[in-house]
Amino acid sequence: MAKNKRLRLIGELITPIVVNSPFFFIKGCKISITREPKENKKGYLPFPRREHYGKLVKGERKAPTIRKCFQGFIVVDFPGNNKQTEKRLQWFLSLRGLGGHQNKGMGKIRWLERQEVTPVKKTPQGKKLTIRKGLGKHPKPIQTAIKALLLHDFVHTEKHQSKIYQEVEIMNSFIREACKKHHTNGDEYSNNWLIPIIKKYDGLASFLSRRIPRKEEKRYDYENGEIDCKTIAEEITEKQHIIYSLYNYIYYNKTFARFYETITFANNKLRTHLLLAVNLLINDFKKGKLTIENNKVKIVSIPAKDKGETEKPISKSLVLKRINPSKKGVEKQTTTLQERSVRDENHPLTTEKKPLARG
Amino acid sequence: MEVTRKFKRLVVEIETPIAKTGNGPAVGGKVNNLLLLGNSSENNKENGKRYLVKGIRGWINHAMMAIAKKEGVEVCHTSDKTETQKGVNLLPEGFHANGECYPEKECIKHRLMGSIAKRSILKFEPVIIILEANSKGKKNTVTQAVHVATERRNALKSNVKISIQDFGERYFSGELTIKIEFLEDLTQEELGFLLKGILYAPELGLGASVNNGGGKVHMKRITLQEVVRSSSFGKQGKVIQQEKIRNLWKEMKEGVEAWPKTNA
Repeated sequence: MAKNKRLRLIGELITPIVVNSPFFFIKGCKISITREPKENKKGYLPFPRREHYGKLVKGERKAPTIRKCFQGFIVVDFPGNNKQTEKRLQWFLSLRGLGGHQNKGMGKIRWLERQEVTPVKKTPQGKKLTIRKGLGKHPKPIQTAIKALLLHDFVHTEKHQSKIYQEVEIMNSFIREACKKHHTNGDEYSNNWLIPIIKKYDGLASFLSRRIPRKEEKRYDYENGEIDCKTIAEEITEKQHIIYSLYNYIYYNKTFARFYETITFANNKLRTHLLLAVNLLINDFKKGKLTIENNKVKIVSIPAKDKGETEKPISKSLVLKRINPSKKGVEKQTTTLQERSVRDENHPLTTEKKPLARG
Repeated sequence: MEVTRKFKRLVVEIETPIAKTGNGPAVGGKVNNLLLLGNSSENNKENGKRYLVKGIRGWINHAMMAIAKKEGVEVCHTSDKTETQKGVNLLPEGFHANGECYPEKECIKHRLMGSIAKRSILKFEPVIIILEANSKGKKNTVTQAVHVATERRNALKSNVKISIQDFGERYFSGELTIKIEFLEDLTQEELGFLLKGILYAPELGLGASVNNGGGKVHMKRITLQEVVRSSSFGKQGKVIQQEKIRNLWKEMKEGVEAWPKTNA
């Protein structure tokens, strides 16, 4: 066997393996439970189907008796290519099952074949977003966008009141208008270029952090003592002119860190929400997803790819259903359909989706 | 390279007119479904869903308890809880808490079924069922073809269209084989206890709604086998598995007579 090549044993799972994670080591061999026994284009084994041994009840916490399990194929990668690997292979071949609850029939394996595999190059995974300790140097339109994002939750809007109870007086009228209207829908904000940017990054930040709901009555942890919201609002109004000091205040202040993002998602803090939104904006600007035109920040729209390659041809029956859902008069429509193009202005495929209102 | 393993096992062939070994209703549903294992893979060349028959180990565990109580032998209870928080006794007479006897005076049931302190020496093979229509008349070593359907229970109040009952239960009916592997050699007494437990199990009923006609089991055949299982690599690394089986009728007969000792 060539030096580059390594041994691999592949098996099929008859019943799911009860383990906490689908990737683990036994006797120095990497064992991975996968959906398919081949690497995908990026060089990774695809994640298996996740199941539960037991019954999940809707709206209730998962009971400790219910265990996670994974179904699919099993791949054993041997590290070396010597006598020890043969011994290990022999040991694995004698195995009939893996994981927990084996005496009840779980984790049963049927070995399929042995392969000699050359290691595949893996494409590096994307870096995790890290929240900056301090803001760097940025052009002026980006600075105004950052300022607007840092201040957008301290004013009363249509949807909610100020998240620190007291409203902050924003001196800049342009930013104040944007913060006030960041929950309104319609064409009212066509003059203000800040509103779509606040909407996008506010929604993104809340979407990323909202996972587990927890309801609270107050906007901060009242049990640990009352907070004087007036002084906090005054401090923010003082620091609103310089974004660096405002960013540092939100980053380092311990009393401000006690505020929740919303009452329904009390696990999330307002501090992380604001900082996350700002960092997402800066990252997008560095990647080129935002551009500056005439001292305005604009979101770069992704160019549409060639129609012939990407879009699938739509069948006639599907189009007929979308245009005319009732069964009567289908025959009459077919004559007009030949002339009419599928990409019409009023066609449901072409209509743009409205951005989700969050915040 | 060949790997071999020699062991003994019990093969139990049963037949049920109707059995409901459900896993509870799915999230947001009203039908008590069987435990779903996903769709069958392409290698099996079968279509449709595969279900696991739950609770066979527990069924025989309870049957062992019942037969031991009948014979007046004290064995482990299924639970290791003796009383509630308010001090109400939970243990019935003739039993001790699960794993309490280990290691000083280990009872016969603990030797077979084990507890949290010691691993069991009986390994129950998974009983996987598929729809008879999906099997296409072919026999498979992994799955067993049975009839699977739902029993819907819809009842309305008289004169008023308000439902009193509105739920369903999945059931299966047909022939099944249960295989129990012995991880260690059993003594004659232990084998006898296990066999008598299996013989007594139809009295308890398998699965849910036993008092309503469900879970009736007819034992067809029980065989003790000695298996030599070998697996090796064939052409292009493909794994080949073979089993050599020998029936042990004499040993089985001796085992049945060995337990309980007082009768002998």
